[in-house]
Amino acid sequence: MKNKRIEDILRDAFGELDGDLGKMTEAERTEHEKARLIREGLRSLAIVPEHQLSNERLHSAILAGMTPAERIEHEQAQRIREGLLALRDVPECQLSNERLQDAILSSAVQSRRSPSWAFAGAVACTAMVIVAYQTFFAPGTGPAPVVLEDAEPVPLEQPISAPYVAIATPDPVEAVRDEVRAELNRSTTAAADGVRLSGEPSYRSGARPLDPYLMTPVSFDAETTEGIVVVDSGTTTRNGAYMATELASYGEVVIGG
Amino acid sequence: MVSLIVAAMAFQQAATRQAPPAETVLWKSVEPSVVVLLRNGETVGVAALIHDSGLFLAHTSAVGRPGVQTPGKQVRGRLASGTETNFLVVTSDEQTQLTLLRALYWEPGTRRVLKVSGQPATPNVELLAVTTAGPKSGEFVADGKAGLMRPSLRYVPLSEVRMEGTDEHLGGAFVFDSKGDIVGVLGAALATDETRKSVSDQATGLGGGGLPGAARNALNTFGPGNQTVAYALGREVLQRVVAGFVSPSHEVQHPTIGIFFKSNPGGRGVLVESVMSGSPSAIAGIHAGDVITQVDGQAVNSPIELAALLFRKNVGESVKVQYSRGERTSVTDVRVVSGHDELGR
Repeated sequence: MKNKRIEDILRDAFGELDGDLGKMTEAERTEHEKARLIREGLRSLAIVPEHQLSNERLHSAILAGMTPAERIEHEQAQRIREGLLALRDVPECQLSNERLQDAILSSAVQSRRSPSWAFAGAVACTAMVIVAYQTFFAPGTGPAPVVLEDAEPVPLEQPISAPYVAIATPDPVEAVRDEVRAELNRSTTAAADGVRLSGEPSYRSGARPLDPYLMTPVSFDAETTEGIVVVDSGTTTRNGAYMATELASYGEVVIGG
Repeated sequence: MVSLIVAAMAFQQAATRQAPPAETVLWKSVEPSVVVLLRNGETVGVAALIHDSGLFLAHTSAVGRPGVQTPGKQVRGRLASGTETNFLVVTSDEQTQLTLLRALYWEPGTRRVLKVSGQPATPNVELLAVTTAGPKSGEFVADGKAGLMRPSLRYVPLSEVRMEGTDEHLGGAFVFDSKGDIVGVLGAALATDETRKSVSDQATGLGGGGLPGAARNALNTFGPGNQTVAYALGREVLQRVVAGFVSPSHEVQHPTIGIFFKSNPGGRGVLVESVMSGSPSAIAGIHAGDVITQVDGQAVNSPIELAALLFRKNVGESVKVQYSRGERTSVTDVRVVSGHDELGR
């Protein structure tokens, strides 16, 4: 019996078991199918050169062999693991069932932001006492969230021992800047539209814009050949990069400096 | 004696056989310091550790929609160990489209901090690009290409890199030299497929007309043998961005004098298209329509020359600008300021 089982495993591994699928139980068939999908995913890695193998590719190959439900389960397990790992940094006096529940339910991020987490290490327990005092004995003066504003520089020489929460603060000068920016955009994009990279080209001052498809390939030393690469940060190519167009000439292109 | 030599040779051969390829060694050395960024569970980009306190550099396209990222926005990332963690957007630099991220929890001293290479890359040298899927081989083609970022219309020097394949997520990939130092961040790629389709449509008559000569050249030149022509923000600009990002203010100091310019259709020099109000150029009396002919005694013949020249200036210094207005030629001192501080760009 044992030998038969080993034989089945070996045949399964070498892909010779397909003919015996009918004899399998439902659970065995599921297991077999899972093994096959994972094997196929891993086999696809065979065409990847050794030096280009990575955990990400392995991860994708394994995920590719999972059903959507299994994938969700896998992600959930990973999040729970991460949540539990994050509990390592919580001082013992602050461990609670609620935090454990948070970690398991993957709401660790929310709990990290809670006020008491802003204190770290040895001071944390003292801080908890203060917070408790303020909460219970000083009505109306409950704990305020402790956050570091982004504008407040964090000294980089020192390791960050407490969570850092960056928040956007309204910039009083921003409104004026926006106005200037809008004004500039109006004046400069009008000129830059002369080399618009998509849609109908516009003509300005009688100058004919360059057709990106008629671009002349330029060689590589820009400072001598005067070619220019226009990078359009509003458009991405199929491979996720911004779209670039090489122009051999830039008569109407406006540059800032 | 002979047997000793034979044994030594056999040992050497065995050692050579067992030694992993250089690319593998290189990849293993940078992998722990790279994070794969995720959006709704999908991999969208990579970030590299640039400071031991948990500061990471990423291309803006990997963080969210193009443009400036809102400070405080949360991004999820996966470390090489498989552990996922959260990052906060600290700031982003519009001129280069790079973003600074801070890991919410980070143990200093656990991973190697990646630095920008101090050496210029040599053409035709093989590079390692780290994409969302892992390492990818590429080739450095040339440094010093003039780049223009839209919509900010700012000049940025770019390096040209050719990457294997066309399907990988290359946007925001980091490019490393053989020492494992960063030599570029892939910001853009030629729209090879679109170009090919358009050219092919024209060739088959779908687009009407024949195949123009220049377009035929483009078809032959770009995307050879399933490669992608990509442009990386080069070493020079990366050094400036990283220095600014890891400073206490996290601000990048790009030099500017507050003007926009283009080729002078009337001949020599560069035509000033617009001057930002309140900028050093406005204060120095430069107007739209002036033609800049020299900067610091150096003749300026094209907008790229002027942009490259200004790009290499340091914030705080002054430049001597010679310009002509009608028949009159003047020289004025213009202060170089930081684009971030003074112009809000």
